[in-house]
Amino acid sequence: MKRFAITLLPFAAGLLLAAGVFELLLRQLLWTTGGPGQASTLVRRLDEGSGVSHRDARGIRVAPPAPGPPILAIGDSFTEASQVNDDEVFTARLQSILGVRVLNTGVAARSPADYIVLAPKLKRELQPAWTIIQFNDSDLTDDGFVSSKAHFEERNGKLVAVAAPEAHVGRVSRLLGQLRAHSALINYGIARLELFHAGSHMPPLFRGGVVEKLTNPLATPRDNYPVETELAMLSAAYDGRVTFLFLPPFREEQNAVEQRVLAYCAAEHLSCVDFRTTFDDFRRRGRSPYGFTNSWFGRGHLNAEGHRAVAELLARELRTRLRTP
Amino acid sequence: MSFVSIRFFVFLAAILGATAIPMPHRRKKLVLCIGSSLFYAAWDYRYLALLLIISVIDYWCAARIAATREPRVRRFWLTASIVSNLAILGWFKYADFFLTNLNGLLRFSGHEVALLGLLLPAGISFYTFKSMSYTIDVYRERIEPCSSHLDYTMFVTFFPDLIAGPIVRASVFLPQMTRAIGPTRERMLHGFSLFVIGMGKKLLIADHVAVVANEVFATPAAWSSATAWCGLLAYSLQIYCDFSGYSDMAIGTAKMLGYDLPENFNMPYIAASVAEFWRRWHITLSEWLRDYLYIPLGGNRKGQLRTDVNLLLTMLLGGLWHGASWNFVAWGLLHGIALIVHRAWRRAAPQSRVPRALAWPLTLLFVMLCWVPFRAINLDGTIAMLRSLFGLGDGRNVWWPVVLAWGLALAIAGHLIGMALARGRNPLAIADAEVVVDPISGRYLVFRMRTIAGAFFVAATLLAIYFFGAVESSPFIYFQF
Repeated sequence: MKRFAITLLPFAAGLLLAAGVFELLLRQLLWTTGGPGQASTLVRRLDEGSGVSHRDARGIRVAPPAPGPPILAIGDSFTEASQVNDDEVFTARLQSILGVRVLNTGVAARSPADYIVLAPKLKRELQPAWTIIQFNDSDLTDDGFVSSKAHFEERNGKLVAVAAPEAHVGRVSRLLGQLRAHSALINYGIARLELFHAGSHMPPLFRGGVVEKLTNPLATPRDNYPVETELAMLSAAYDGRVTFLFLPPFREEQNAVEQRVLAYCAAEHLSCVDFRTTFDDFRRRGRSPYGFTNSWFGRGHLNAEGHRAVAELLARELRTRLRTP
Repeated sequence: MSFVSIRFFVFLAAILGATAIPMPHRRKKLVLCIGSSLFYAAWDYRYLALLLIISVIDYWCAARIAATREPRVRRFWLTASIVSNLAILGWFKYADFFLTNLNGLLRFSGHEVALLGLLLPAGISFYTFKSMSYTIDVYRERIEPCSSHLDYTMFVTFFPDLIAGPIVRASVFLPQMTRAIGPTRERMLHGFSLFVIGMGKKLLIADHVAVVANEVFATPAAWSSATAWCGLLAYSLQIYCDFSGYSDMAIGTAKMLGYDLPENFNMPYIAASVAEFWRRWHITLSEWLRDYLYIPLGGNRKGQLRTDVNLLLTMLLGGLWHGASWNFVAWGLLHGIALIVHRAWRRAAPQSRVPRALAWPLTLLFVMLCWVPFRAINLDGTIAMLRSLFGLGDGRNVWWPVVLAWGLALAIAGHLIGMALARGRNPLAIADAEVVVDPISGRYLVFRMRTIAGAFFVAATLLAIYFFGAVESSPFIYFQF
């Protein structure tokens, strides 16, 4: 027994030491402090971009104070922008250009149905003078109709926005959540396990292959989605004081959804910013607004250059809409 | 079933568990045969029969060869074995290539032959070569014919090297048949150490830099010269770490079961000549081509011109072995020409030696440039990539992928350790790693984990693979060959 313990002790000590080193390392690379209802900091330096983002207790990305009624920016991970630092996000840059507070409430995986459901609360609490709504083509089509999150649904021949179903948190999940909140090793370990598990559906096993796309029976093929109705609902939810920010893919040509968004904006005289208008400039310079040195070129989320271009584009549009100098 | 998948880990645990159970030796072989067949069937069960047919044909032909002293009859059965192996390989791998080129020639006549559209059986190039080596060696009387069909089937179907090598010769594997099968503490340590090293090469380097290589080679004309070089460097790293990583995992898996597979890579990118590169790169294929193609063609025994022709032919066929495409032929041709030039240089100036400091970068540059046709989709892609590399294209996109820097740093660190080991030093002694020099598998490290540093090193390596290894990645490159 004693001999066994003597053999085992250095082994166990080595394992513990390695776990400790990785705990410290992961806290520098990918870690969140704070939680719902608290100020939070997200460190993200590992896989896509390298940024530290701070949010206040309301979930708004921290920025210097600015006068006047604010501009509200809502969107998904492209607006949340955890890949870049606070001062590099398009909302922070737009604020410094316009001199007006821009509130970034972007949350990853949100969709246009969320923005409609959340509109009364956001308007009441933040009282925006204007709202920027960011989306891309899949937000208005496939992703906007996934029933496991906030989504659009047809009821009695009318399109309605349905809130996300309440997530059931069991005892095990709650315990895991607490463990994840206290240890980067456990947190990222579980996240990796989920990635491997998700990948295990890909042939061969968790390597490469094609992920099966979620399909929505309501409106396939893609051209049949009620894009115009969705836009009308979004605009109405924020009293028409809205700028739509459309983020198309860099490497693809304009598709039917994008054309319909632009046509609808023109027909209804809505404020609409198509990020594609900057692409020629990027191409001329051999640069891309999407992607990072630690991910891809031309794909993924907006990089710092992309955020700067979005801010400049929005500033031009909002100056005319808000008549700021 | 990829070596870096949960399904494989479960499969391996089951096989190790089954072979650890005390039972007759013959039954353990049967377990391995069935396990290997299941492993192969996991890709496509329809081609399992093909694998077994090859094993029956070659076992039978070798038995007929050994049964007679009549040279004509022996030659007949050898020819039958070679022709049947090459026919199977040719039908499944090269028929559509041949028909596509035929259609190209017939284009003006208005005729077109329909393509067969056959699915390439996984590992066919590897196991046909492996099996052919047996009948040829029996014919040459270098080995005794295998006395048991079960042993031979186990040799052909042995799952660690079945899909992507190393190409194990019968003369190396069959003598190990008398060994006790199954894991022991020592075997597990050796096998685990090699497996972890291989997995690290694959997941920490190859799969990360693959993103860069795939991105650049997908649209070669779009990139600036600097980024094109990044893409080429990434592919050079990817193919080495992917293939040598697979070989390490195969050798490690075989060791856990009690078998030694031959070394397949020995730091090829430190080679200072193309000839040296081929002594370090895909060693089992180079040696197979040397012994079963180059030497039978006459080798260097029939004059300089014939030697050069033999070299060129061997490399052309070696290129074609990789895949049914003119790109692979071009790759083989370039290496063949380089070997001829190297020989000519050695003949013209036998005393003068190019300093290693100059010869190494030149060789590396040549090898890297040869990867262009190897990786490019077609001839147009090759030309576009070469134009981008030398700044002759219109591409402007600039991208400095940081994963390439990380991959390169890891690969350089690995090579420095490897070079120290080759000089008899052990820089990882502090991590309780022991250098083993195996007559078959070459030089490798075994992590003993008896000290805190040893356990820390192994745990940190495994955690690094788990946390930082690529999740989204490509299958092993050599699976397609």
